[in-house]
Amino acid sequence: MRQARISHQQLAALAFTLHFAATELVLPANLAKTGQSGGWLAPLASFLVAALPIALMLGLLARRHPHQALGELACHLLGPFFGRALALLVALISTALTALSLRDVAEVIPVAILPATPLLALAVPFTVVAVYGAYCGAEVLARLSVFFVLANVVIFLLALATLSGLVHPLRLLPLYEHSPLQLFVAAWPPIGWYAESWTFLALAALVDQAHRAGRGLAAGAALATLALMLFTALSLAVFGHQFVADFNFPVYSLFQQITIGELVERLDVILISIWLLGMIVKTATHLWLAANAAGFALGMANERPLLPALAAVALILMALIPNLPWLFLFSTTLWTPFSLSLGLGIPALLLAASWLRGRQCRQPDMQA
Amino acid sequence: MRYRFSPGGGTPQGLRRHGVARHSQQVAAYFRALGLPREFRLACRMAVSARAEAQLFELVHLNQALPVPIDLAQVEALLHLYFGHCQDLTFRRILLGRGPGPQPDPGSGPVPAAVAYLPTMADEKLLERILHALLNAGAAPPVGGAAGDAVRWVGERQIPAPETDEIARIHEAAQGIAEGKAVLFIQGAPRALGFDVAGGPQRAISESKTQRVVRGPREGFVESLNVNLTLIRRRIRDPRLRVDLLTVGELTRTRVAVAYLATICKPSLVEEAKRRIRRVKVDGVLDSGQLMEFIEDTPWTIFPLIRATERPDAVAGGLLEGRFAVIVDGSPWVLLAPSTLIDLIHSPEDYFERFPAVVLVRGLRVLFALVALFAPSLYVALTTFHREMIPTNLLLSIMAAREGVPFPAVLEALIMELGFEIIREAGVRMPSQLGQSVSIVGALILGESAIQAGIVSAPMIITVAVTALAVLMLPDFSATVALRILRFPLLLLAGTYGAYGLALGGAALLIHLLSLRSFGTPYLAPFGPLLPADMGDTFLRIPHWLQRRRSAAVEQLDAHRAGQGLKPQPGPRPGRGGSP
Amino acid sequence: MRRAIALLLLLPLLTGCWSRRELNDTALVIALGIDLVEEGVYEVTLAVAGSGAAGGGKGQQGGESLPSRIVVSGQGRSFAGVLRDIELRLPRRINLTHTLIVVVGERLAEQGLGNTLDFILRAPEFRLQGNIMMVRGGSVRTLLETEPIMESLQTKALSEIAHARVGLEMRLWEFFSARATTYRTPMLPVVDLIQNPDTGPEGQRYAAKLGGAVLLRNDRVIEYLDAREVRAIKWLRGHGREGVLTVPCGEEPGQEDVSFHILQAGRRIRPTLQGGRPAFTVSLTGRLRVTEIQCTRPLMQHEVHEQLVRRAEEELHNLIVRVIEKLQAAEADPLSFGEQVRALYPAVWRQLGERRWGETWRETPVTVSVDLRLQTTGLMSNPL
Repeated sequence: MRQARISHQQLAALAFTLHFAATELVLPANLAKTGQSGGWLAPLASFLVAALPIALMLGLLARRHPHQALGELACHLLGPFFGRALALLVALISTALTALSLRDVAEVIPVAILPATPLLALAVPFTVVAVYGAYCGAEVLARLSVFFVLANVVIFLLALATLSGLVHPLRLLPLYEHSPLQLFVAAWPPIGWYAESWTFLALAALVDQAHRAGRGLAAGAALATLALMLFTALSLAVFGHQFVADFNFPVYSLFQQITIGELVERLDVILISIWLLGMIVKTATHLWLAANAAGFALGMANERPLLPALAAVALILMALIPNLPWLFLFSTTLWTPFSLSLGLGIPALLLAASWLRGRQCRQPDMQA
Repeated sequence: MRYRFSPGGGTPQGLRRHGVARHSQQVAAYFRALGLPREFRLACRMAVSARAEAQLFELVHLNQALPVPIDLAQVEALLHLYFGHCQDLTFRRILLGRGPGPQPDPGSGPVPAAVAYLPTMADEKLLERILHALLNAGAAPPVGGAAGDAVRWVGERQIPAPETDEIARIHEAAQGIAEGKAVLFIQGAPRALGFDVAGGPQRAISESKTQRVVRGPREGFVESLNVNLTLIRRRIRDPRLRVDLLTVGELTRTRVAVAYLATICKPSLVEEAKRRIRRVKVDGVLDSGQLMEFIEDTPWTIFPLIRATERPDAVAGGLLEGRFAVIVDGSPWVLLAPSTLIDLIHSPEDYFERFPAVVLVRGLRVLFALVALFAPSLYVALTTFHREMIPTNLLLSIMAAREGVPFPAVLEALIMELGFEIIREAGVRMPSQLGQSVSIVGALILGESAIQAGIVSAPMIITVAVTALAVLMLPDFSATVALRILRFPLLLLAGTYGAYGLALGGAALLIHLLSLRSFGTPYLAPFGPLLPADMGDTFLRIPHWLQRRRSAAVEQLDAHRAGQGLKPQPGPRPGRGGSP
Repeated sequence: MRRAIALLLLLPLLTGCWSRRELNDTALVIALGIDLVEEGVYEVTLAVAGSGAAGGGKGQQGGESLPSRIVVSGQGRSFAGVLRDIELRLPRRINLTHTLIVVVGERLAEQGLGNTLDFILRAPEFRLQGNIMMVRGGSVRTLLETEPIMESLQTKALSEIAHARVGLEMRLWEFFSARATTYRTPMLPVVDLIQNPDTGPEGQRYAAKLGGAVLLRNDRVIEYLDAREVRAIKWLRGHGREGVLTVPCGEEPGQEDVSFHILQAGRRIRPTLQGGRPAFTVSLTGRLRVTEIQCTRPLMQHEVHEQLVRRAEEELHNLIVRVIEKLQAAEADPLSFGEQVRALYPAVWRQLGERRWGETWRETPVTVSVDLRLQTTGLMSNPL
């Protein structure tokens, strides 16, 4: 099979989708709760703390070791045992992320558009489509994510145009109510979400121009941050932060208010459809990453047969999550320290190993 | 299949046996001379046992190295073995050279010779002219010199055919005759001379029925490879237009031509195409559609990965973009690859009409392709799941119309869609004299009466009708088939999960489309991957003077299409001083 | 593999369709009313669209026209419980996605809305862009049963009146957004049920008129505003267009009047700090068209129309000042004055205390300036 390659713009779109799709609906309420009227600024802090350093480190790794996926790279740098262990860890985390994404979908859809449908009946077809996406590979997913980016731009402009009469820009002020520290408290959940990006190393290895991989990841994360800020700001400016904090999915509720003439009464179904596209890309990519890493850890030449098995594991994990409040609690507070320490730790570890190896290799050269 | 031709309704049995006995002796003599004992024995028993004849034929057919016999009687016998004593084969004996005459003779006297051909495949006028030339030739060929001398001598001097080739094996001769050649055998010469006399009636060039245009050339391809190549060559009159001929089909021996522009189309692309065509080992290929299934990248898809067209201008346009064409003898549909999804909404006319109109029409086609795909399922999803999206007044009207309809909306939609498919299929296949009744029955029963009876609601009829018309807007028939098929699973999904099902179905469809390739070109290009340079010829069409590069989705050797500064401008007016 | 996927895809299709609801099985609620019967017992009234609602159609075929809507009501301690109760009586499932109007009864508003409206926010099918209003002078049921003029649905008619920008328009989400804060006062537009002055269906005694508004604090009515005051509020909210200003026309103020139509209206509320305390400057601008003049003064003369426009300015100024004083007296701030202080002077805001904004607002000085211009006199120049 031909080695699939993606461009760094496609990587940026993919990174955007992975960062933005899930946060779009879940996070704004939390941001408004803790950050109040300045909550829309908080993602910027998360970007600076988590997404940017990780993207830069991954970029550096991809530049130093072009076209090496996480497993090979780790084996090369840390030795076969630790390399496999790391690949296994990536497989585990990516499967867990798949399960979380699945659960997000399975929670949002009944609340938003299909009130009476049971959880598994929603999750199973979604998983099937995600497995199909992962089966087609990262290249196809990267192309699909470009559509998601464009759709988001369109729908945001549409929202801005139709809601412009209802926007009260003053509701975005003051930037902090009590102290600037509030912003960092609000930034805490997105930090956890953004720190997951260390698992994207396998994607960075696919970029045809390896030295641009870091740029792609950083640009994608920056775009996702910007989009989250804009969507949060829009809902804050329309509803006011107290009201936003009461919603579960403020952006969804915002799009419920959009009326275009006498033709379209509500845009929320369209928003959900676009969001679903992003979630399919996200879930499929996590699944692909998991299969990729697991295939390496198990020493398989072709990891595709692993996909259904991993998807089944993710489904079971998903079913173990008790309910929506727990999911919110987990993904906004419990997950962050764990995710952040892995996210900053592992790329740094790999970089350090790469630097040491580089010195070891260079010294004989200089003697010769 | 044997084709027996005789005016008397069949050869008398005795005569046939007599003929077989005669041939049996000749064939036996031939194999004895070659020293093949098994064939010899079979040849001896041929006259009494039909089974022996069949076995012998099997052996002869497999042994392609058998030489052309030098004796004419043996030639005739062998050819009759090949063609199964069929009366369709003509073995015309002639004498070459007038014997002693005024001219100096290379040979001494008249030489016996024979021309073998299938009259049903031959162009009678051409054959007549060649026979005339042979019979009136002054000198006889020199016989008995170096092998093939006599044959070459005749071929160079006495045959007014455009192309001749020397044949050393009897198998080649038989094959040549079957393909429409006439073969000249000369007594005493170990070779034969084949020349093309293929002809016979064929359909005249006419306007394409399926891909009609208002503006643009009207010629359409016909069933003859040669005529089709003529039509293409007439449009691209340059030696860089290359045509590579291949043969596909063990029995049909169908000629397949791969045409491309040498300095534009990537050689690796053509090589890949020829490799895929050569790989095809089947008994027969009757139409390009059959070949298409063998050479597509992904067999498991309902989208046509190779575009088929009946119009030479479309093929020429494709060649200019760096694509290649596959022309199959006997099929008026020429394949054009690599092709992308967006090609399916392009009509050749788009390049001849003025561009603002084209942009409008293409926009409509994209819109209605989406309508054709999603309209019924969207209707079902909105009315049964997401009523909040429909404006209140419209919803109230739909509710009033649906009052008393016994089926759920999904079933209603499925019934109506199926009903429409029935009308469509009936209309396509039935004799044209009956066409009226289909439309009457369709309009009355499915439209008027169904609503009157309250079985289906009027909004549903409107939706289905709009969908049906939308499908017809697409210029490419194979695309419409894909849309028609996909509508049904989407309808089921919408009926089960509403917009969630539609979004999932749409996403799966997108993933599928994105994973497809046509000879290496991504099927959804220039949208996935996004190629901004190609956007000028998608649902837009920018003016020709702005299209300076060939499409980037298809890789070419030379991407430059036109020079700079082609925007029309008023030129300097010599000596007029400004006034008109 | 492929076959397994196909089977998996088919599985949910076979098992059934959970959230599907055919149109024939839905009762489309167009308006919803809540009132208080006694302490803790609510009455919920639903106006359900009937077959005749679409206007025309099959309804006329049988000779008698079907009702355009059916009004049903039920009583209970919780909203959801009453809905379930009503559903047991209806042959169809209640669908709230097209609820254009939520009507709150007078008694409920007086006693306090409490969390009766929580259901509306929680249900995803509810559309928050519907209008909310309070009915006065009759019961919720009477309002929903009133036959409308020129519309087939009463609720449709009401929302059309609301949309026409004559009265106050309050979307549900706007109401809830204000209610979620401590410093913005929620308002409810008021529909008055009046003796029918227009030609309507026979035997109908009432007609609905959109007029004033009420201010709420802690979900309880604290102050009524009449139609004129609502006009001022609308202007201050930035919806001053389409109003009419009427001032005396003669040399000396007398019986004869001139009416101006407001073509353009602008407002600017600017907070400032005066000695550590907030103060506001409210400036209104507008362009006028003469719609009616009863006296015969030469309108085209500069001095004349200047004088008339000055009178209009003065009239408007007095109205605005009066309304603001009324709001301050009630410690109500429906116009987001507090929000401006909060956004622009966060330090001051923290010091004043978010919860005690009402007390501060009572003392806050507000300067009002009005600048109107005459744009056109209509088709006629001077009066005849």
